[in-house]
Amino acid sequence: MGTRTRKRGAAASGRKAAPRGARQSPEAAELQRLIESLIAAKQRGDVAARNKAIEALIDFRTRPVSAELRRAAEEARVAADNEVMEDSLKALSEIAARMSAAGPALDAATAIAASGAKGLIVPKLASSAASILQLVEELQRSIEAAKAQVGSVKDLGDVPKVLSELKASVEKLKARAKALQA
Amino acid sequence: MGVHPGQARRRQLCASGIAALAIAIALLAGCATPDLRPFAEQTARLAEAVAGEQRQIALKYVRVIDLNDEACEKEKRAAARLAEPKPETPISCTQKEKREKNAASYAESRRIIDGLLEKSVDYAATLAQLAQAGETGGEAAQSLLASVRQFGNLVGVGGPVITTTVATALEKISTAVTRVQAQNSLAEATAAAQGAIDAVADGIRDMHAPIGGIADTLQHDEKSLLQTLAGDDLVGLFRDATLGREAVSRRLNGPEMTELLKCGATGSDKGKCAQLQNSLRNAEELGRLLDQLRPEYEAFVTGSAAAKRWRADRDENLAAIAKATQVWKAEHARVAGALKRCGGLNAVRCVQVDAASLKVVVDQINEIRSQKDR
Repeated sequence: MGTRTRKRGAAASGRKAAPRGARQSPEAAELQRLIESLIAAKQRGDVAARNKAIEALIDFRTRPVSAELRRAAEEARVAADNEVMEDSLKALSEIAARMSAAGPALDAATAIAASGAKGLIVPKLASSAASILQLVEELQRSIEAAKAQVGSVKDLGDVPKVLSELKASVEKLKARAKALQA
Repeated sequence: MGVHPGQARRRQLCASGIAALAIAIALLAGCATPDLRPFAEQTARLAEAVAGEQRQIALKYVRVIDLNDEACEKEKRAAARLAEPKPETPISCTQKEKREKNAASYAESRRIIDGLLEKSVDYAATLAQLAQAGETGGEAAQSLLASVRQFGNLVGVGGPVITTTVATALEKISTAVTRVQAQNSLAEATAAAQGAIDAVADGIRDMHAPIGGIADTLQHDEKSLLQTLAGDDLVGLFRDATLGREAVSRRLNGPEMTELLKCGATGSDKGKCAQLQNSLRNAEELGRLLDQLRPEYEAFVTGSAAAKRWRADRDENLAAIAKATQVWKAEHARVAGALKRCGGLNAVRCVQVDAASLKVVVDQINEIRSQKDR
């Protein structure tokens, strides 16, 4: 068989591609798909499909995802309800493009949030919400250690920046976990 | 050829009898102007039903704005706890301002529809009063003209507020006014007013139509805000914990329960017993977690379900109002027809214009609203 020549994903739709090296998280990819289905429903004038996609965006926020993804889902929901079609589609496309470019920091924060919540429903891992905090703190220590090592090596490009962003995301997650426990 | 005097007398008597009969019929015709009060009553009920529907939207705007306010405060407090250097403005705060603007714009459209309905009620009442008083001539036509003119006098409509729908309606009303002005009887004036009635009914239907989209937006807003207030995490956690607990319960309700019961007595397989007892503890812990989260979760679920029902009611009533405006037009055409038929020797054809079909659709609108109130 020959090699596949069919364009897929961002390239096929003419959307802005994700930066080289950035890996889109499954959650960001799912949100992007949701927004794209919403755009298609609006373009078709399919009110039932539009409403279904909007409900899915509201539900998406209940999943263990990062604060950035939750905000993006709500932004998309609000944009979808904009009565001016042109503005609505423009805003939705921009959010979808942002999801397409979601990089490693967001990815890591999402993964940590997911494993933390998983801990809550797998009682052996975490019999209370406190285990999320433990998990996050453990990861924070690992990040600091990793950062110290990385700092001694030159020419690492944007890796320290990415780690710094990841730490910020983890700190946010820690605060969220504390709020949840309160 | 000569006529016999007796024959001539008989002819004279017959002629005066016919004249008397004609006078009697004409008098009867004057007295038998159709009873248009049912039409006027149903017009008033239609106006009330549409106004009630519009109130539902206005009240939902108030609710959504209040929820935005509450969510905005909650999200601001949460952002302050995170101590970010430049926290982003919560979406609920920006949305509050937007919905306040939307509510003001809706209030203007509501005012125009209410104005048209109010004038429709006045018009129908004038028509019924004139018919009841047996006034069917030129003066009655001029009295009706005054109330048709009122449709065009919507106070404050103009400038940026005026939409294509309103402009079209006003233009058609103006044409109808000119036609009514040229009529010399109530029947002719009512027929000539049909153009204005059509314009008013279609205008109300068209201005009311965007309510479907507005109701969708308000329902989505309400659900989203209730979720924000309950907590996205809490809602997700409750759902996941429910699933987790159900899975553990299913396991423990099967043969494993029998094994577990044996554990206390014999403790034959300590590893297995420890595993089962752990599952039992986990189920209990999940149960406690669910109990803690339940009040907020249930408030969210109940509120969301109510918002969904409210939306479905609006859909039903939107269709019923669109239908009612068309039935109202048709009833008015029947009224004009009845007045025309009622002249001179046709008095026997005069019947009460019962507006029964209009009553049916207005009843339907009121019923949907009263279901919600129950």
